[in-house]
Amino acid sequence: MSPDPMSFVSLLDPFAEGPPPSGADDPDCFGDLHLDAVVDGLVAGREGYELRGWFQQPPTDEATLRYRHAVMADLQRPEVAGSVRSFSRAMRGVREDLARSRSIRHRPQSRRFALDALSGYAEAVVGFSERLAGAELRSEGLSGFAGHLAAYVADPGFVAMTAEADRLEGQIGAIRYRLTLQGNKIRVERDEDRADYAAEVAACFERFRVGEVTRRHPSYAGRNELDHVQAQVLDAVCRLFPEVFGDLDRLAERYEDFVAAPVSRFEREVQVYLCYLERMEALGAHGLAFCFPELVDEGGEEHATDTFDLALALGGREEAIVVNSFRLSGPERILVVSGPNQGGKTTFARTFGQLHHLASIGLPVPGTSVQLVRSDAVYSHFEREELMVDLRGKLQDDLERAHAILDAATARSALVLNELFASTTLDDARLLGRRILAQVGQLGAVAVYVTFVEELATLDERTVSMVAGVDPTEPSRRTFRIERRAPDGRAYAQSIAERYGLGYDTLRARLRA
Amino acid sequence: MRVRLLDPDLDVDLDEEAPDHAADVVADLGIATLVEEMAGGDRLVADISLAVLVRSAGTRTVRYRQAVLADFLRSPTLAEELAEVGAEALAKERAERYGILGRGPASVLGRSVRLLGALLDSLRDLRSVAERHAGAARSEGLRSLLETIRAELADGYLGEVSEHLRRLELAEGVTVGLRSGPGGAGVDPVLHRPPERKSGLRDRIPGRGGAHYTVTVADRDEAGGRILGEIRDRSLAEVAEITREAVEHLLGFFARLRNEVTFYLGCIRLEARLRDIGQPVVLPDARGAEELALSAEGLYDISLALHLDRPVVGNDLDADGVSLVVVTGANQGGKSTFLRSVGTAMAMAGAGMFVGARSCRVSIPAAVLTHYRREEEAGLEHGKFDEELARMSALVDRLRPGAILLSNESFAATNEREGSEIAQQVLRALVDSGVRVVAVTHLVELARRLCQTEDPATLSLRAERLDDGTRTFRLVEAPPLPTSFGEDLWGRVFGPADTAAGPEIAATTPTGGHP
Repeated sequence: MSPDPMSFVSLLDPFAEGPPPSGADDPDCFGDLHLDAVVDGLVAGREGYELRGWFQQPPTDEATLRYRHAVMADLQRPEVAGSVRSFSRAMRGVREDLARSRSIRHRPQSRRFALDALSGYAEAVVGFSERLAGAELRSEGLSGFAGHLAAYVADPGFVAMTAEADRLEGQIGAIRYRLTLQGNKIRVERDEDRADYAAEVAACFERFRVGEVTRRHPSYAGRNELDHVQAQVLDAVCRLFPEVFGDLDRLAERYEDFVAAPVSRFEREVQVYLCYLERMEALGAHGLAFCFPELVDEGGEEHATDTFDLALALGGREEAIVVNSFRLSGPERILVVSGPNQGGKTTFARTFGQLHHLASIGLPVPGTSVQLVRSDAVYSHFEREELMVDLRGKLQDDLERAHAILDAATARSALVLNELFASTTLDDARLLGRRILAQVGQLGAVAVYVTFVEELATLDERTVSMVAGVDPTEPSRRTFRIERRAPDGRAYAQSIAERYGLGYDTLRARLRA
Repeated sequence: MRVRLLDPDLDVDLDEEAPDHAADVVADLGIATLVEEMAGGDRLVADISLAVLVRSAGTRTVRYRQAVLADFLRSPTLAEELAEVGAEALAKERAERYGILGRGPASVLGRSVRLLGALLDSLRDLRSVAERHAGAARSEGLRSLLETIRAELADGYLGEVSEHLRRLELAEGVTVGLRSGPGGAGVDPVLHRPPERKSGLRDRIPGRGGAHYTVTVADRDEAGGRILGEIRDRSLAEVAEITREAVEHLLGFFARLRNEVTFYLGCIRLEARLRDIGQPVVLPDARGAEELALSAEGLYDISLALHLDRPVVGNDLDADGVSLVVVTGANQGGKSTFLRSVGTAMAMAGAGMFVGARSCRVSIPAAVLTHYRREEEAGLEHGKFDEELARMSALVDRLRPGAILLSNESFAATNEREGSEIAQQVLRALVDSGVRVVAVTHLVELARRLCQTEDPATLSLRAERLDDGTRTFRLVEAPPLPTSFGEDLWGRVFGPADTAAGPEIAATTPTGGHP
């Protein structure tokens, strides 16, 4: 592997030649599956990195997914993620100081920020390189970058730059001056005396003190541009210490663009992993686990254990999240979900769609054990919110959208079809549903189909019936549990009876007591 | 400087929210009447007295307070003068508060320096009070306070404070040392000692002769003027914070002084009033919890005496070594009054006050709690019995060994058998866990079960009724009788007027158990 620091390409796309994705448009399914909200939550606080594009489109090759899995696995070790995070924090500071240095016209200030940026950069890069070297990285992506970084920091040019920045930092840090404020004048001079009068007063008043006091040392060390008065004070300080500030000018001119391109690309791309990892860890603390999905070819078995709706989980109600499991084996391809309203059917359907999308872009997925077909795309069909007076028009719209999806989908796609034909008659819904399911079955794609038409659940060997149940022991709470069993229209009515202790078995037991 | 008149080791937090059960205790024991008397119309005294009363102190602290109280009862003018100095100092702060314009450090410093100057006078007043009354203090608490005041506020020290206050007027400007920080900003300001007052000498500030540059802000440059102010603020921030804290601490000291002395002023007032009525008070012999002491002569309900403005019937009680007192007997025979007199005495003893009795010896309780039957408050969701159980359950969270629970007809809101069964389990569990219980009950079954053992730790008292049916309002040591006296109560209400009954009981006991 070449030690040339400029040869490192990408932490996300080992084969990518072109520029990173733009992130202009979300895929159509994002709104229905609430993946738009998921990505909003993931990139929040990292807007400057423009990460959205990487969450939108799956890469076409499987090797890229493995490459990403390996990087994420490395980053799941806290010491590695910790190193990356502190590097990233330092780099943010560097960029901010550089931006200030460029935007401020007053030369002494601009130079000071340039020096801060340079020192911060050198320190961050060297420190990060050392920590990566000791980290026993297993992924091609991270160990590749670590190699490049090691070569970069050993480069004589980099070493010289660092040494000079250090020396100057030391000299500036030793500068002491004093201001005397009187009337509208500020007298500026060198200062050797550091007697602290405030401490003297504090010692005298100590006697009045009651209990412990943590005195806030007010810090006004903002990093904003100085006002004109302070700028004049700074000019005076420069004149009091001409040698130091002369050196500063020369240094800043010599090193203008010092951030290496691979370093900044790495720092941007690693955010994709970090932002996801942070959410994984936060949810993990609530007992919501993630895992790397096994990815299989079309027609292969799918299963997921204890998976959940990521949008709901990130929405701040972690405790209320109920996990669900499913399996599609042998000829089974379609999960038909029926059951009471507000029993979690739609959430389950979203979960199914999210799983396939997240897996397809190479991220860990919600669940303790997950195997999925590696999807080329996720398609969704949810009922439109807008009011349609014309039922015929609505039905036609439903069918047209379904048709478009079936046209575009392949055997590798994942389909999420939610309450199609809900507004039509039962006969129509049964008929149309059967036809749509037959089409999906022919296609061979995996799908979830949410419906109130129970007969569709037992159509043929390709369909699996899933039922949204209500926990009879605690019926006042929605459980969102979706179970694999034959549809049972009485389940909900039963649960209401239980609330009053009037369920059949309960009544029997009470009468026996 | 510490006040420490309420506790030898710590500053009692009088602002702390009262414990959950405090409201019940106050209502059940009728403590409000007592507190009103202590306050004499002063809201502050009422709040503070109540705050002290609802928290039981440890035995050592109780003895400590008793000694301070004894000093103050001998020299009430000392208490008045201390409270007055404290109140005056606090008034100075209120006066200064209306003058606030700026919140920046320079304004804070100016205000703090002015206020410190004023408080310096209060400190001098305080020292003079301490000097004049030096001989009055025999208690550890008061003696150490007066000594501290004289030692800490000596002339030399007050002069030093005064000099700093003069320097901090900053008549000759502000000099501050700085480092060059990020972006060239001056950071880590270190204030140099300001000269004391204006004079012609220019060499007081060292380094005047060296190289220097002067930045001048033009008169018309308003923004520049504001910036100058900001630089000044930054330079003064730390010393402003220090002086602001000094003010806060001094005010805190004066507030604490006034508040703690206020409690004793309340005690002084109450003692005087009871003396007028002709009721005795006594500082109880405070014993440790392990002694299970509880004995008194002429123990009476202070609130009742205050309310009636005349002497009331007292009881002798000998319950040393007793952890469960069961009180039974006739309705309106003085049971509730007795329970209140025990509870009030316990609360007052725990607060370090005197109690309403001729003599008293008592283990200081870890806490005083009450569980009284509620007549009307039962909500819609809970039945009365549920409410009682829920309330008892909440109390149990607060009970600990050494606490005392005063129970008045607990668990009477269900049938006798169920109530007795539950009450017996609860009370037994409490007693076995080291909680003392005084229980008034109409549950005959309960009383019989509790008293059938020959256990010396159980004392059975009965409201006395003479053979002719008249009540003496005294309690005698006797086992419970199987029936209550609702019958003759009925007779009294519906039959001819009964002249033997004391009207005070009727006036202060709105509920008399089973109708």
